[in-house]
Amino acid sequence: MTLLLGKNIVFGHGDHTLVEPFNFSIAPGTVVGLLGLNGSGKTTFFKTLMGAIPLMDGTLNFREKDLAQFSYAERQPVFAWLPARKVLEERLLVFEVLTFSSAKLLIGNAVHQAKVLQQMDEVIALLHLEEFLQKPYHHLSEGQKKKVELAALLMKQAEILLLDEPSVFLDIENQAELVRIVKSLSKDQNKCIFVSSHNLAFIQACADQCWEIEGKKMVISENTATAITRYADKLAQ
Amino acid sequence: MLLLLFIVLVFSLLELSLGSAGVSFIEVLFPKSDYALFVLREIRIPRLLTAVLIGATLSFAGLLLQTVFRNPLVGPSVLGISSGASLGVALVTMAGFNSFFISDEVPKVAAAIVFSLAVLFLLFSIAGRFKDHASVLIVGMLISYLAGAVVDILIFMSDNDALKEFTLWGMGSFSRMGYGEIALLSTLLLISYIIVHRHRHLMNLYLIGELDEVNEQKKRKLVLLLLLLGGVITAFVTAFCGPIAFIGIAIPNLLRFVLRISDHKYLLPGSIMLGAAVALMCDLLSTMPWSNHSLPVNAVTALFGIPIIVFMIFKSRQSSI
Repeated sequence: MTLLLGKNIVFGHGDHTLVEPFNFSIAPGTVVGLLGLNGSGKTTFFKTLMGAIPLMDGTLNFREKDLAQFSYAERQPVFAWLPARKVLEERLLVFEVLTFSSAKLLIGNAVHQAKVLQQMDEVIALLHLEEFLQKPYHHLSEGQKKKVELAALLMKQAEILLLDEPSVFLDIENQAELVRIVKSLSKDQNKCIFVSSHNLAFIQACADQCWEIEGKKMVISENTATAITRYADKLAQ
Repeated sequence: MLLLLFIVLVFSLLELSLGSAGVSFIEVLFPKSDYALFVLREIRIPRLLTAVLIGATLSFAGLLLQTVFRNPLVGPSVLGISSGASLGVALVTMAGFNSFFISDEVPKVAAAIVFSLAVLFLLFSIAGRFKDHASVLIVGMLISYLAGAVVDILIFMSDNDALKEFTLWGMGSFSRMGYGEIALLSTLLLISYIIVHRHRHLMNLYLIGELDEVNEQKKRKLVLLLLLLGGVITAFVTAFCGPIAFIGIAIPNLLRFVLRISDHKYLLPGSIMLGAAVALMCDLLSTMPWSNHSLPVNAVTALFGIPIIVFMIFKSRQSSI
């Protein structure tokens, strides 16, 4: 089954093309590792998927429906983006960040609110955030902050997650933890996850497919290991 | 919230019964003489309403600006609005424009409104060109220095009477507003409150950075809306009462740090109630119930308020680590 289908996708900003036409099709539960140099267009690609930047050409289908027809509100349950650096009011407590990110929680009837609260408990349990809930965000370590941001992202209940350089600033243990979380989300919850990173070991550990932006081409390999070896060889030259 | 309402009510009764005119608590509840009625209607009730309204408005405006800039040090004065108002009043009192008018207060208020709104629109026309709204802060500061420079020149060249009049205006007062001004300001506050209340979820999302980049358009609209509303209500308050210090910065912080509220669902009404209560308290102190004199309200807000806030923030910080 195809979750997301791209035909002749061209993206960039303004008149500046970053990547020339390419096709792809992704099934639910797939983790895509996105490689590419700084400025090659990884973040632009995420923003294009989300609809923040218009497609320059081609069509994107989500569950066989054209995404161009989706309103802003309709796109919300489809994509959720975690930027590499998140700017937020750092004095907020962790549970407030989680509550605010789930706008659904703040409106609707009691039954609905109870459901959202239960989802929040599940997210908190998955990311082991129990002991941090009453702490201000700025008291946390980088690894803990990233987990809080990820939890806030998961509260949106989107089907496709776009993680922009999530392993940056994380030590080896937190990276391993993140790999565990990403795998659990894709296998147990059938989420489709895009992970952009410069960290080859991290991509190799969690991705099912490897996409590389090379020059103005999107090179898609189903086999992550060979793609990574190729990428590493190219770096060595 | 109920507790705050109760405090406001108690302070209101106190405010009504204390003053240099010698009308007592019993007479406030059961006014017998025409004199008592007159004092109540013409002096104490307008003063009470003014204090409540100014406190509520300034702390509400402060909250909007602190949310926009995600910075607890920002207050209604940062946009340069107070400085604009000062410039207007300085021109009226010291540059001799006063002689065209018969009344004393009207030209000052008019000039303060015109100049503070002019600063606001100047700020907006410049800010519209910048992508980053933090630059609004810098431009606001620059505008206030510019206005300050002109005011300094006027002060340097003016005579003693004009200087005293200007200085007194700058100290702020809750006894300058009549029922007309009160009605105008409360309407403005009510309208802004209703508009902002509809955006409370969006303001929460803004705080956690959800509106950045992905939803640039929505974020810009929200920022401009909050700046505009905060700016306009501050402009009118400053024009009517002079620049009132401390309340706009301190009350939202008091709510956030001491009462630990961050959700705008509670912050918005909380800022109104607590602002009203604290302004009333400051005004009570400034009338100095134990003597026949009164102090400028700005001195009281700063002298009594700031040490308390510093102490409370310090305490709440320590316990949260």
